[in-house]
Amino acid sequence: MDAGRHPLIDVVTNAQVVACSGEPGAFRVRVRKRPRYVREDRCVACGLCVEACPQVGGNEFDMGIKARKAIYRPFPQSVPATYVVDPDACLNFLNFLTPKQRDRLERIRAIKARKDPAYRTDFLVCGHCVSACEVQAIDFDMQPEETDLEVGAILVATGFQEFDARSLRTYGYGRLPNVVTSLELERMLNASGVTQGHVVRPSDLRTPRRILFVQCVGARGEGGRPYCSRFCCMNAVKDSLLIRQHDPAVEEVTILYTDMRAFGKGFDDFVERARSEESAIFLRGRPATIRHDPTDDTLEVFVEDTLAHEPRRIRVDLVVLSVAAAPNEGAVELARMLGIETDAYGFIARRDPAVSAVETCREGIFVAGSAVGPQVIPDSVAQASAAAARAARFLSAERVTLDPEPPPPLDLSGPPRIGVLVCHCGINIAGLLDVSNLVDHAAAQPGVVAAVDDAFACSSTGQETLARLVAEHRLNRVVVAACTPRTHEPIFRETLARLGFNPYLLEMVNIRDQCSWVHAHHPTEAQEKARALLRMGIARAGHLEPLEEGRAPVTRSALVIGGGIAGIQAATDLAEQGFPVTLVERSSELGGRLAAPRLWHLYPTDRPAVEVLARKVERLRASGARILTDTEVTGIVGCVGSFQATLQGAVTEILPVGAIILAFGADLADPAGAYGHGRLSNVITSEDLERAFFEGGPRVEGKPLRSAAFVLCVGSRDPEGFSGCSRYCCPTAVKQALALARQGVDCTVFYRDMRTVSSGAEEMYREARGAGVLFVRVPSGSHAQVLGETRAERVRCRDELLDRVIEVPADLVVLSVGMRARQPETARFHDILKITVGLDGFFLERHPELAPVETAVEGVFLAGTVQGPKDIVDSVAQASAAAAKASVLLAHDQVRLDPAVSVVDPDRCRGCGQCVEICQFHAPALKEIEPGTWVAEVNPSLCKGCGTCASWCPSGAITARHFTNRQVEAMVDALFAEASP
Amino acid sequence: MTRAHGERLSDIAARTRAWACYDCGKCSATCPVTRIGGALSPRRTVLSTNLLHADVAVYGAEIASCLTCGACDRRCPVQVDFTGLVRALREVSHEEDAQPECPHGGALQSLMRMMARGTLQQQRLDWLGPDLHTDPAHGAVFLWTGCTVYYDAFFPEYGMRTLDVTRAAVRLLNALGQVPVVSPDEVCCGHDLLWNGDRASFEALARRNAALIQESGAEVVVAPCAECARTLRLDYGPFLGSSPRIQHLSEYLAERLSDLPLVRETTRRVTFQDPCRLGRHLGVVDAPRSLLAAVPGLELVEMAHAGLNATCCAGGTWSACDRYAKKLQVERLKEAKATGAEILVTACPKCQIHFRCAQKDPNLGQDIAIEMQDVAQVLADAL
Amino acid sequence: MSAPEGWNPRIVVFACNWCSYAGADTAGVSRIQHQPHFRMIRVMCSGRIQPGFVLRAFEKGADGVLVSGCHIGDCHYLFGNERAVEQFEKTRAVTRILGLEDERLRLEWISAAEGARFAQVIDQFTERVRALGPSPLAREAR
Repeated sequence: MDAGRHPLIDVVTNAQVVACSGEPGAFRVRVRKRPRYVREDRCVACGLCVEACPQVGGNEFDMGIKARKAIYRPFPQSVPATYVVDPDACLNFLNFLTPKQRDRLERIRAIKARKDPAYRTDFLVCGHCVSACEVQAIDFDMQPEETDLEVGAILVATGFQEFDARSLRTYGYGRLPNVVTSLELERMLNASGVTQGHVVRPSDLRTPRRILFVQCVGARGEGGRPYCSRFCCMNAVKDSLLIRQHDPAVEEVTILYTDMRAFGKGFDDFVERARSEESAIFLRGRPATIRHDPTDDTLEVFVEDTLAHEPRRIRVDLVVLSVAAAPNEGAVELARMLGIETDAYGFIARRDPAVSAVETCREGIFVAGSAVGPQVIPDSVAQASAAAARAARFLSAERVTLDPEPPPPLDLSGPPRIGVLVCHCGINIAGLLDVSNLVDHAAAQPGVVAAVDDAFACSSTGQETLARLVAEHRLNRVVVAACTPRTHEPIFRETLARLGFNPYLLEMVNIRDQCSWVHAHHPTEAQEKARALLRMGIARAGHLEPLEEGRAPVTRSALVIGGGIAGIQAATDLAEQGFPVTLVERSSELGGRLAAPRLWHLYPTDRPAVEVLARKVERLRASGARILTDTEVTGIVGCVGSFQATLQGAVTEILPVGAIILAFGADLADPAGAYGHGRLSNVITSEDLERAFFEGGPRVEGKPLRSAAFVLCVGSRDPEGFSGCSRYCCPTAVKQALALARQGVDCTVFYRDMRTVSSGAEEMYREARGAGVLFVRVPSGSHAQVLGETRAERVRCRDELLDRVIEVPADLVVLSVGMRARQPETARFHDILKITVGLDGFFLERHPELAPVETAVEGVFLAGTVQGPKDIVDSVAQASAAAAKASVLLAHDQVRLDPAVSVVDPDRCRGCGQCVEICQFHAPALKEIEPGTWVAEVNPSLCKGCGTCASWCPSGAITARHFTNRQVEAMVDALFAEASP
Repeated sequence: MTRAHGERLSDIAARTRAWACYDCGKCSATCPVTRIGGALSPRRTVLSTNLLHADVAVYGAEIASCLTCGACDRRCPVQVDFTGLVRALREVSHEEDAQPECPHGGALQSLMRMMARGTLQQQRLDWLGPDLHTDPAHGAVFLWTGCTVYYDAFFPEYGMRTLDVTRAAVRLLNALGQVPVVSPDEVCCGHDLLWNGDRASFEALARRNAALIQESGAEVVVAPCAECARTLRLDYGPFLGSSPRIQHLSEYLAERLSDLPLVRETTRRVTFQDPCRLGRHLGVVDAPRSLLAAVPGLELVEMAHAGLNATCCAGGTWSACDRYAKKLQVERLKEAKATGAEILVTACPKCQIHFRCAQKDPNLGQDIAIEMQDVAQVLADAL
Repeated sequence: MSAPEGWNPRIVVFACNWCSYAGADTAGVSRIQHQPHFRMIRVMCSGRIQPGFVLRAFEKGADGVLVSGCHIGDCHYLFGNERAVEQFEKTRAVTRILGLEDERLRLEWISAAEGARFAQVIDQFTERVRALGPSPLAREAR
């Protein structure tokens, strides 16, 4: 929705790229747009055509479970909100005829046309939709259009397609009635989906009592796909919770998994919730066959419970296959056209994922999301922003500012002179509601000086009516009774603003989406409701106040705190776009964890970390960023657009910046004596091992190793401490074990769930197994024991999968230590900037999916592991995303401030500080205005306009603008005010 | 301004003796709000009324910021009833919907108006435990519980326990051998609405309460709340007539002090906040002091302003809640601390509420921290 | 007191802009029919829904009041809905003393996608309130 409405984004749907030429900074892309047979400039998305259409077609979006008409809108929130005709279903395209029949028809038409010059060969077989449409939007003459777009950069975000589970016969998909895929289930669970949120068995549409999820279908080696799809584990857990919450009739949900890959921030806690609420039974095992019982359409699943060591037959009503993500069919062709490469599986290949998660092999072409392989949403969103940041380098010359000259403001003073415009929306409103009665009712309300109706208020004629009304009646308030303000308020506000009419003096009354569309069975009550809503809107309008958009200056430069890989990346991205950047590093060298001798080689490419780092640093230096090592940030004041940071160290200065990126990384957990660390000389951490590689590999008493044991999840997934997953440790341990195994060392890895989710990691895990590395699954709640007096001799642990105690010799024990929020920096910057810290101790992002690098403090962004554990690739992507978000802010010399925020009346404020306490955005602050007297002040740059502080304020000193007490109370009063005509 | 408007103002001026004013300014010199910098000059309000200047007298911010504490009334050389004047002007302002927004989003006024409707069957007696002996309908003593049950529910964030005052009152009456009437049908006395200018709702409340009191057969109505006591005694005349007797709890207990078995020793030092409704409005200043003096070992130290000179809690009618009210509260709390007392004793739950609200301050902290108790609690603890 | 014949409850719904109001719009776009006896008042965040709003609705004659916002953890303003819970509980504490049945006041989390759920909540709430009959405050007020 945001993208669809953005003035700088053209959305071209129903289209494909057919050719691409040119070079970075000046590409020419040919796009073929298929005709939708509905004109976007006219369609008002009223849906009358759908009602009129007699033809039913398949519905790819609902997996064919639900039918749709030949003219349709793919799903309720689609952008553009325009209908589209399916030529395969529509009668007018004659696709229902056989080729022979078509030929014959064509011939008859040709003969007729020869005889009668007035005869038209393009007559419509069916014109129901055409005659139903009141705005003449349907046009069967539309032809495919090809357009050439000139662009500076190209971003590929083509996603993935579902792996076709039909190819795996054992699961019976496509063959057995009640086997569905996870995407089909998703459509059922979606509230606006095929079954409105209820899960059903396709065979009889009844609620299944028992449901079973099969994980890793077509993944981790199956169906020729070695990789892990990353999102399926969490998706199944989420679905199980949803199902159990919404459908009490579902008695049991079982998830058949191999490793529970809850690797993301907060994921493990989520799985724990599912376990503790018993929303799902977690059973480790992959089913052999699924047998169908035709008497009741149930399914019998044969699986070994690998933790209980017993074969099981589980009878269920519905089997959900968590299918892997497969590359898009068109990806290879698209890549060829764009001159970029695909990987062995057909996903878009990146030049060097360890260096950049979003760069393809060709300069100027970027990739984000699951087009490169399966991604979870937070990572996809971060990558998308990262790609935008990288792409911006090719566009910086083209940066546009949108600021048309505003017209002179109208005089809107005096008592309310309210004008009311009631929209018919064709028959969407007028078909059920008596519009003239609504107009009369409006006209009778106090303050109303004009009330009229219009067929389509949002059409150009409707907007003209509005303009005329304002001028003729010298209106100072406008009420539009039509559809939802969420989509149409911007349109009417814009129209009014063009007249010089303060757009905040508009009130919209939703009599379509929330009245005529949903109360068709109750016309009398719907009319009564519309009248009440109209009264309420008019009453509120009488109390609306004109608001002026504020501006705050932006210092167009950035401060990056921390010189690790994330800080380097973020600083480089911003500097390459031409913004002055200062990167501050506390220590004397850049590189953080990548600097020698901390990290030997990177997985999965096995490249030396120092080499990657050197390239990064080189690029950073070339970017023109100012680099300050041996320097600390000791204080920051100010707010978005104008921070002042105090730097001390190599320089001592107060640096003004517009945006701040926090990238000071994370700490590694201290084993704190666990597993004999500190007591036994040869028990080391994974970082110690990396260091040893720099010195020619680990040795024991000067001799080469014969055996090594790795213990995972040290300081991670610990209910007492950090309960989350540190994400980087599984692949790191596999990488290290593989390196040692290649030197002939017998390696054993003690793990809990093998979470090799990052790109290429699953393949590396497979390779390690092939190289003879042993993997022992540690039972939940138990730990491996390191045996030895002064040095570790052996490691003993119960292998959960064998159900017996295993003891292996260990010349070296490596503890894979997890990540921790870095202290005291996290606490210090929490104090300085008031950034919220999550329960896991890391900084809390604004929203895990929608805003993964933003914080509650406007203008402050998170890069890398300050937000939570990540590996190098993910840190780099997130750093670029933070740079992208910062650059949006820095692109203008002023930041617009929404005027609909909270304001404090200093005379009424008691200085109790409750607003300061509850605001997550730190907008209110107490100021001592005279000795001993404090009053709150709301910083409009920080206030998001939620209005919660106004509700909280005991004395009523805070006013939530545009949602004031008086405005809301006027609505309540008007609601119950009995109606005149 | 309309003619009717002018007549209304001159009528008010006549009723409240505003006409007698000769602008000496003693009221404004007395007024705590004026002193602290608030938007109020009683003199100007009186003069504006006399000149029929409705923009100040009715629509201005001044009448809303008056605490109606009565400090000026006591000093006026010509006996202008300024609090009465403000109340009358607020009635005009209320009728014309010209009042500023109420604190707490108007929730409390809404509650009171709902009670005035008289169609609710409240569930207000859940706090009564088995150790408290009361009668729901009949008895010689009617214990007026006021709105404490609502306050404790509405202000959880202040750790408000005004119901403890009510419980203490029952225990004290029980100790005197009384089984007081505590009615499930009692509604708000109407004090706040009346002082906010909503006379119609006040009268609806008063009629219901008067009937309830009369049906109970009580000889005396005892209210632990100074506002309730003031309202029932001074404003219920048209509904209740001259009987039964209305007393603040402290007055009732003071008359029976010898029967109260106050045995438990204490070594605590307290100071006393005279509620404006009890002190200046009803003239009761000795009764609570005699009670405190009767508690074995208790030491009472007076604040600089005490008795009829006491500064009020500055929150009385749920209307004038602002920066200036806060300053007065802070000042008063500091004055209480300066006495060296451990406890600030009041005789009105409202004083406690407003002082506690003021104490919720991130900057002043220890400067204004002092324990607070109602005189009823202090006495009940000594039983 | 039982409801008179043909009586319909009057319900006020306070909804946040981002989730619940949007959920009602989604019900509209999907044409999910539901009971028409409620009136919606939009605010930006459920945290804005102060006790005074709800009490005023009851005072003016509402038979039921529904407060709704984003699911916990999904607030557009991080934790506004948690403040909404606190204010709701405070409101409920006083309406309980006033003698209004608990079921007349309800808190629901409805997301922007949950059009069907919105309709379901409205239908269920309408039926509950209908079964309770007119609010004691609405009886005299009408």
